[in-house]
Amino acid sequence: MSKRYKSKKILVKTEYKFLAILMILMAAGLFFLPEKIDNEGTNPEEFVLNTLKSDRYISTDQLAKRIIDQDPTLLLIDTRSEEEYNAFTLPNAINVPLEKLLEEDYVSYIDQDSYDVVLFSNDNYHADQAWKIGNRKGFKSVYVLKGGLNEWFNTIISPKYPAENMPETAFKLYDFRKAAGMYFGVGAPKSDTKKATPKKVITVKKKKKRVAEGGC
Amino acid sequence: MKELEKTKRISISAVLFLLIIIIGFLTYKKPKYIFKNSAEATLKEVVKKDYILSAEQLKSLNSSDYVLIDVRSVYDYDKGHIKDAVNIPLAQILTEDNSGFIENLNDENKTIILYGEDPDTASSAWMLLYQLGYENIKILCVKPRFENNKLFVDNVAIEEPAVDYAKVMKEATSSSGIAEKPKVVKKVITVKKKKKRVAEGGC
Repeated sequence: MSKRYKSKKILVKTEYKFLAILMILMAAGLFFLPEKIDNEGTNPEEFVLNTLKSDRYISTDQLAKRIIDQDPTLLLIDTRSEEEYNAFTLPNAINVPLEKLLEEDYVSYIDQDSYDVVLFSNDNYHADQAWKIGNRKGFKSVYVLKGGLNEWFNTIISPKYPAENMPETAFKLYDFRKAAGMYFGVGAPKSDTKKATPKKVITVKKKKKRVAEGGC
Repeated sequence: MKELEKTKRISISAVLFLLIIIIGFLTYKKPKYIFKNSAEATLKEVVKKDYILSAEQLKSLNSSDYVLIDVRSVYDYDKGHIKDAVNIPLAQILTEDNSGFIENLNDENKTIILYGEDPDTASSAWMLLYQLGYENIKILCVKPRFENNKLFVDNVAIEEPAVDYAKVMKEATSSSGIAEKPKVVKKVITVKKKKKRVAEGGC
């Protein structure tokens, strides 16, 4: 009995040894594994699909409406240079020059999902490229202003009066744009303006309150 | 008996262990296309702008050094395209045939010149190919248009402000009465303090 037991014991031991060696060999094998290759953010197939979609574009009318409504989820990003930004920009826009897009200080404006980020530039070429970089990185809720500031000036700041034969919607759109333009500081034609008269100074005199006097 | 079971258990677990590893190796799929250039490197290249060619610059190039690729749809391509251009719609740029074709051009050291319906589409294709590791590529900054069934390839300006925004805004605001904002005179409210009087008694 005891002899049999002993031989078994040795058998078990070799089994353990075999397992241990196997494990060590496999662990050593890890060093020879090729470096894992994978795409950070989106992969090329997704990148192409996303760039083919046009839902990233937001029109100047849509944007004007959202600004006027004071949409709290809107975040405007100006991708032009600092000089251009200082000369003129849209209300409450933040300047993130295209070349600085991925720098630590700036990337947090775009890489977040609490706001709808709208990128714009003079036309939409640079804004679109900024969007594509974001697409590669996998950023969500980033949009591009279609036509950029050029389109903004064509539509909101100086809209064209629609031709007579155009549908009613064209006239409505024109009215909206005119009104929106006024919101952004464009004055109404001169004939319409009234000279504002300075307000009168109203001095409110408070009645003197008297403590009730006793009667005689 | 007990010992025998133990060895069995060990061998079973060893076999399972190996099996899991083998399955892991077999199911590991290497992605077909891998971005070689990082987003940062691509952005740097984009900002340099030397990948943009105008129609005139294209004429000065030796036609044996480059291949034109039209990334518009097949329909637009059939309607009319630049001479000797090859059609690869943007949506099909990653199919096996097309990526092999591009790989070949790259191996032959030919410059790939992309154009589309506008520079934006061309730049989409450019960005994709650049990130995939092809660096000898350019885009043609043109907007093809048809007039009387004839193709015209015009240069387009990119990122040119159409007007001087600041100036236009200044004129727009000053042409109306809004710029001369009337000074709002603040209401002056003079509050007179109550005089406190001690209640007088009656007579």
